[in-house]
Amino acid sequence: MSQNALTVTLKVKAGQGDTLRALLCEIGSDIRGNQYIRFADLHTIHFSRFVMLDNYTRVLFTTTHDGPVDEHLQEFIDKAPLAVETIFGKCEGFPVTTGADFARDFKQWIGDNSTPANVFFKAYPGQSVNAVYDTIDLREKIEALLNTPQAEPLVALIAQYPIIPPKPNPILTAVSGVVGTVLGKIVPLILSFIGPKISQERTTEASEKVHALDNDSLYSLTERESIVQNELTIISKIRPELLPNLKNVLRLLEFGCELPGGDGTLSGVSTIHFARWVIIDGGTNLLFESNYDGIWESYIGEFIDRAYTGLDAIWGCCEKYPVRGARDAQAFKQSIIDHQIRAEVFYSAYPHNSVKNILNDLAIGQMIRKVLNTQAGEEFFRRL
Amino acid sequence: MTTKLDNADIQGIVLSGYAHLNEATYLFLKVDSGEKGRQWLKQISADISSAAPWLRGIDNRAIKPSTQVNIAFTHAGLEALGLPKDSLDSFLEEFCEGPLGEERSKLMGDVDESAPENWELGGPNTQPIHIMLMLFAATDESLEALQEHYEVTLREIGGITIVHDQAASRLDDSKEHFGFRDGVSQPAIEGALNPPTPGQDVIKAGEFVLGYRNEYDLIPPMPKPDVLGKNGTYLVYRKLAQNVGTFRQFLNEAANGDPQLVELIGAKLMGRWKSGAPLALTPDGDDPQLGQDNQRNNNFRFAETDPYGYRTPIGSHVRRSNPRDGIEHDPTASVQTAGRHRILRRGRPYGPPFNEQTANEARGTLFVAINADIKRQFEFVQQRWVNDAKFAGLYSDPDPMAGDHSNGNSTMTIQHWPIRKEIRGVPRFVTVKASVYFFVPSLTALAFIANGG
Repeated sequence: MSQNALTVTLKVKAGQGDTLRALLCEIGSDIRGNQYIRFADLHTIHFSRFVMLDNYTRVLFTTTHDGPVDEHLQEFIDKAPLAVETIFGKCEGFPVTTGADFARDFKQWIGDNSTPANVFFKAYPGQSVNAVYDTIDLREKIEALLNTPQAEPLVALIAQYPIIPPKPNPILTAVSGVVGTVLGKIVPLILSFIGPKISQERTTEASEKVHALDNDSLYSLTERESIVQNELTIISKIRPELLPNLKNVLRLLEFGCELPGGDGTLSGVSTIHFARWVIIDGGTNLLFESNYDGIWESYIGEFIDRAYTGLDAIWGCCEKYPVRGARDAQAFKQSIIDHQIRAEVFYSAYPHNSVKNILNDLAIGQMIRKVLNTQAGEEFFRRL
Repeated sequence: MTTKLDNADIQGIVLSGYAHLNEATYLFLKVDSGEKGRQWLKQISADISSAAPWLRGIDNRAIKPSTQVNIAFTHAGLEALGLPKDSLDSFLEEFCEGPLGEERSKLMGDVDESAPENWELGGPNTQPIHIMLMLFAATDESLEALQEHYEVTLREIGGITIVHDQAASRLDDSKEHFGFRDGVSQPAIEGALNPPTPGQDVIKAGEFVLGYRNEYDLIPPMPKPDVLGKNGTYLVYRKLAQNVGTFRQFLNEAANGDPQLVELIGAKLMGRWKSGAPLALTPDGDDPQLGQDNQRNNNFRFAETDPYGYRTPIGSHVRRSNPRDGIEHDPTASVQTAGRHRILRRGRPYGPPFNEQTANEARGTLFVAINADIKRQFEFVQQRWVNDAKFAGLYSDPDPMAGDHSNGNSTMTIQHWPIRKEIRGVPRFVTVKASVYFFVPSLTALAFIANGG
């Protein structure tokens, strides 16, 4: 099933900002037990968040969902009517119709206020929420089975036939070497060509002293950090003269994300479930949202270590980007802190599973099904 | 251009673990009078050991001093000593706050019995700590004399209280209480006097000493003014009680009482055999000669020879506290990432070795880490590598030796052909008893502090 990114920004009705924020905070503080949205009942949602913007005059609502947006929103209307009424009802243009008319008008209204993602990264494309649940369940059952005495004879039998470690295939190695060179050398070259100019010079000693991070802000952004999954939302002002460059960079990145055979990483960063870049507000702002594993320090650090060229190419088109780009780790971290907005509501359908866990579970599931479902499997059992 | 370290200005403990000095006492002090405190600092500042090369005798061998003294300050301590506000505000936030706060405690694994409320030192229910005076000596007698000397000077001058003292004593063969040789793997510092041993990563000096380039090729932020920050660094002190009885019982149960299997499972949890010999080089049995040979015992990587953890389990203590080339898909990228999260370890054991008579006595490790960026180095390693059950694709495996297993669901996966061995319900073997963040000033900065900034 296709995974899709819904990005909606709504104007909050005058005077309703504080009430809406309080409501969202209440939901966010009890994401699974609150009375407004039983997120877990909404089987189309992988991740979702609500983020108050611009002094609570606007709200950002995003979901990473399965299937067509129409069905996704219908599920919302059917299963979370209270949330639809109390959250969206505080926004301008919320339809006043009822019944089937309301469903139509609500979808229309959401559609009118949504913006398609310029880049949408998926670590495990094509997997529905239920498929992810199934695959987690399957692995856990296999693990449990392996720990029982019943598994021992089979294990003992297989153990008698040691594996011969595969020799690296010289052709494949050469090919992957070339691909690596292309990705490693040529893409940054293209990026530096179409992206903004970032100083590559080593500057003098004095100017390289960097300032301490504004940790008060960082703490307020990360104080609810969980060990497994976290959310990041960044909104940056695009420099108007660089909007065309930004669009080109994002096109290239989207092209890369859509290529088949991805390794589940975004430019080598292996901790992102889903991420999106969306040019919003008529080309004035760039929204980045990601659902990632681990702590902020580690995630941003990994981004800098693995993908600083890409970061420069994208955010170099925005205002207040560090002069020396993401290689100036401290300045880059500060620029993230300056633009990051904490979500009031952050939901994950599978909060205890890392990207690596899910990719591994999927691989296990595919292998098992190969034996059990395909002709090869049938043949295997027939021969016994 | 290679970095040249200003050894004579850097405190000795930063660049050396004083391997030849087996005994140590840490005195934790509270400054009641800033003036008296500064007076005392002036009086003792000449005693503080630097990292300057030791003198050589006529046989050209270094004459190793028989005692060493180092000093470190908490943020509250620098405030009590009257450092101006500009300077106080220029330190790392983590240092100013200390290792406290609910969220940080959760990520660090400082929860339940290990929570700050239960600490002996540095917690919300204990007296404030301002200064840590570290005394090192070759023998008990000379340590006692040294300690007494400082106790007398402190009494004479007044205005400073000894809140707590903590003795440390090395065990035989550089072992820690679980029985493993400790401190085998340390990063080499670029520009330091000792050449790196085979397999030792050379890390930029700015990761461990302020005022030098770090692994991002930047000079990281320093306390202001420069005279206060340069050649200084941060020190993390943690008292970690080791529950040796629990550890042994756990191994025994996991091995069904088979003594050989006890050794193997212990080695699998640690990533090294008791002698220090790495599983990476000798997967089937201990090799004490290898364990002691620092030209060989650290000379290994993971990516090529053991990508799946068949030798050194992915979740073992050594593989997660320094993942070398084995954390990312790409070994080169791994080495770069690992290099940005290293610490210098200066830990020492406390308490008597475990045996039937001493079983109920307190024992453990006085963990000391030196780093220039507490958040990116020590806290990162503790949160993201040691305590993260999802480390490197694992599912519910925090560090088996040092992690927080208080939720009762911790597993240890020992990768093995044809199927992994999974040990469920790993208990917590290490309890945090104290944690304090210190600043270790240069000798120049010490004079600056003694003069009131």
